[in-house]
Amino acid sequence: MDRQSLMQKIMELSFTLDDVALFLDTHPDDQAALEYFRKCVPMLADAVEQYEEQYGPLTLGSAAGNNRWTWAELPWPWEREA
Amino acid sequence: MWNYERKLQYPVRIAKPDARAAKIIITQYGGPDGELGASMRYLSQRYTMSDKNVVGLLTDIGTEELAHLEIISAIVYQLTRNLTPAQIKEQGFEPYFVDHTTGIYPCSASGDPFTAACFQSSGDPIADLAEDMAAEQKARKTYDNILRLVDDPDVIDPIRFLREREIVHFQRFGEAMNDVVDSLDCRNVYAFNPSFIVK
Repeated sequence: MDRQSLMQKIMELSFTLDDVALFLDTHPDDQAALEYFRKCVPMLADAVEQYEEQYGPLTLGSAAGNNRWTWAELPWPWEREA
Repeated sequence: MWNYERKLQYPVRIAKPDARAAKIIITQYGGPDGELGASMRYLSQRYTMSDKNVVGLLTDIGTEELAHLEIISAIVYQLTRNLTPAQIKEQGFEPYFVDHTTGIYPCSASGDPFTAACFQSSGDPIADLAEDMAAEQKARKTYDNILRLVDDPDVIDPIRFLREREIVHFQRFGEAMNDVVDSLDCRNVYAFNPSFIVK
């Protein structure tokens, strides 16, 4: 998957978790929402792992490359090219 | 604490600079109903919130507002790249430009710098949640007004997303308000401060 499509997938999954988390904050016993949240967590983790392996770090924990600090190598998220 | 994730919550890709649009949209960065005030409001209020679940909600919405702050910044940044001096004059951007060039500065559309006077942290859960519900409607109103003033689809798309989030947050704060009121002593019919007066 090209970088922008994979980023799009990460944004979609990540937003899903943001939104369902707010719902669970006020409906902590909703079983369907809990199940949906649990299902999306590993999907996001897989997409993030794939992105970081192929393109570069999304968090500082993945920014230490073999012989170089890679934090600033990709376009920043607010740039049109991101 | 917070950790930075190197992504926006919603994508911003604007092809055409438009300083006039930037000058009105900056108000959702540092204006009276903007995202900076929203985030600071919720993150400040959570310490004295009486209900544990609502503390979680304030933390999560306060955090999401930081992501919205970044989306607004990205919109303004992309709208003001590669402007010529002629465009700055034609598009009425001189008052902002003379102070900040094209730096991103938290102020309202009318130029007032961000002030914490635009929100409260009252220590009263009912008062705070009533303010939070109003705040979401006021932010939604500003996005509606922005949508009345801009016509570029690249700008309209992320603004619509942000507007929709205000509606969802209003819904969640309404549920939180109901939960807090339901938890009150039945003799506390006027819903006085449950974390300070009524134990």
